[in-house]
Amino acid sequence: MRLLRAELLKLRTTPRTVVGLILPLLAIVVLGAVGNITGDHDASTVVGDILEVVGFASVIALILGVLIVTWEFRHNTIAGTFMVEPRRERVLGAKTAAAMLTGALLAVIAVALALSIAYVWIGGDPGVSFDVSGRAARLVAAAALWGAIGVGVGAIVRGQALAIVLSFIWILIVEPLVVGLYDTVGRYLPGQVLDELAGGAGGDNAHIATGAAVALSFAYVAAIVGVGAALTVRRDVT
Amino acid sequence: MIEVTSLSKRFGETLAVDNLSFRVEPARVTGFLGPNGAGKTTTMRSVLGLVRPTSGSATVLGRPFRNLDEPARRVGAVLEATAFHPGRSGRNHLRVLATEAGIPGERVEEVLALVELTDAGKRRAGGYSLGMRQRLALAAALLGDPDVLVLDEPANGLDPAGVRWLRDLLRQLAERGRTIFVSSHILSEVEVIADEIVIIHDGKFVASGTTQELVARASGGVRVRSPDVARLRELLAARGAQVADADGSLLVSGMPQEAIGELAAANGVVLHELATERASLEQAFFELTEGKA
Repeated sequence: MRLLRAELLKLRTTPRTVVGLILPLLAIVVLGAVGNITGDHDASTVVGDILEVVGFASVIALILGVLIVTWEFRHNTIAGTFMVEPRRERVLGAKTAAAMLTGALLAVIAVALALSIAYVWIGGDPGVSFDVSGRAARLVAAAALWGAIGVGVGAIVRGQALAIVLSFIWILIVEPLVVGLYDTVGRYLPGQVLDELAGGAGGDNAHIATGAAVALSFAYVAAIVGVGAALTVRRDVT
Repeated sequence: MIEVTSLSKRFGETLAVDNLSFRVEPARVTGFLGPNGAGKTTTMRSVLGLVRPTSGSATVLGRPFRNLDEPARRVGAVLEATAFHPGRSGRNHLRVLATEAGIPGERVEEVLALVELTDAGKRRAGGYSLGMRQRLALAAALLGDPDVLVLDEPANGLDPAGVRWLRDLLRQLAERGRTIFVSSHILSEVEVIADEIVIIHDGKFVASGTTQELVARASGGVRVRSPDVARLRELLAARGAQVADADGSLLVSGMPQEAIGELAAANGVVLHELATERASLEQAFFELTEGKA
């Protein structure tokens, strides 16, 4: 517990980094929401479209997860952390929990902002045809899991820039390529599965059942964080 | 107490530490000397559980570091001066470590005062001078009021007043029974600060003992100044003394001062100076490590 408190304190005491991540998220949510409302919109789907933008919270959660691990290597604080708690798997567990909490919080803020804009601008209930709170919960869960994946990737790669670049290459290039070429395999890749969990894009026929998406999402997170933890415990801190 | 037993560590092709054994006793300041790349940092990191030995062991207070209960209250360490997030204030850096270790917040203020950073504590640590960074690192090491202190080059970047302050602090801690293990490349500093010294080279043990012992083992040499340097050098060499040039005079070892004077007189060589140089740790160090290079 004190390790988790310390991880959250680390985040709170680096205001520049955290604000630097939250501001773009808020900006994108506002711009996306306003863009959706002012454009040609169907009143029954506009709330769903606006919530779509909240998916960006997952990207920020991923980056934050990576940072929570990699900045300790970048700034040489990892030795101090491991001397206070030599059971390194616990340190990584606390980091995973902190990233999940922060990722979820970011998504909650983004959802609240998006919905406020939608309801205030449109004025009253636009006649939503889907379960808003269900969709919001999926977005929050996805952001939390992306935060955990960030910690796992950060622990495996250790280099800050490299970890972030590799993550984006995977999400923006590798997965879309595999999905485009071999959809039957592609739909089971981590990014696609988590997108499905978040109540993602839809429209194409690459869907897998929600239950399977949830199970696979947790399996991926456990595997990536597990590999990160195993490597962290075994590696030398030089 | 720190005990290193037959410790070896291989990084790929490089054998950084080679079958090294020594002990660091409590209530003493023990200096850890060796040229750059001798394996000091790897040894210290093995002691601190950060590096896994290839073979052999390193224990602190009788246990491997990773098996210590509440390690922050047993062992404090300074490894790198710049080991903090630059955006975090000095005080917050210590608060984070205190929270991790379960150490109360008041202790943060105590150690800040101890290293004279109370006023600078609220500023971003990224803006600290090297000396302030060293003091912040030392504050972090002292946070748990540990029994054992492991300091890798703690005097780096301190001004002369800071070095004196560090020396006094370490001496006080040693007098209170703490085990202090300090590496440094500043030999003159170690000579003043350390009661005991462990010397390594190329990852191997070279020598250990009290500072006085090691200094005594170094032949100090005799400085000889003469208008007829060339002749004197021949005479000395013929008697088997080692002769080195030193700014126009000769530095002679392997022959006592009196014998040199008598030799010069017997051969009618004029001497302008004949003085025994005090042996320094620096000489001891170079003599001990040279043979191993």
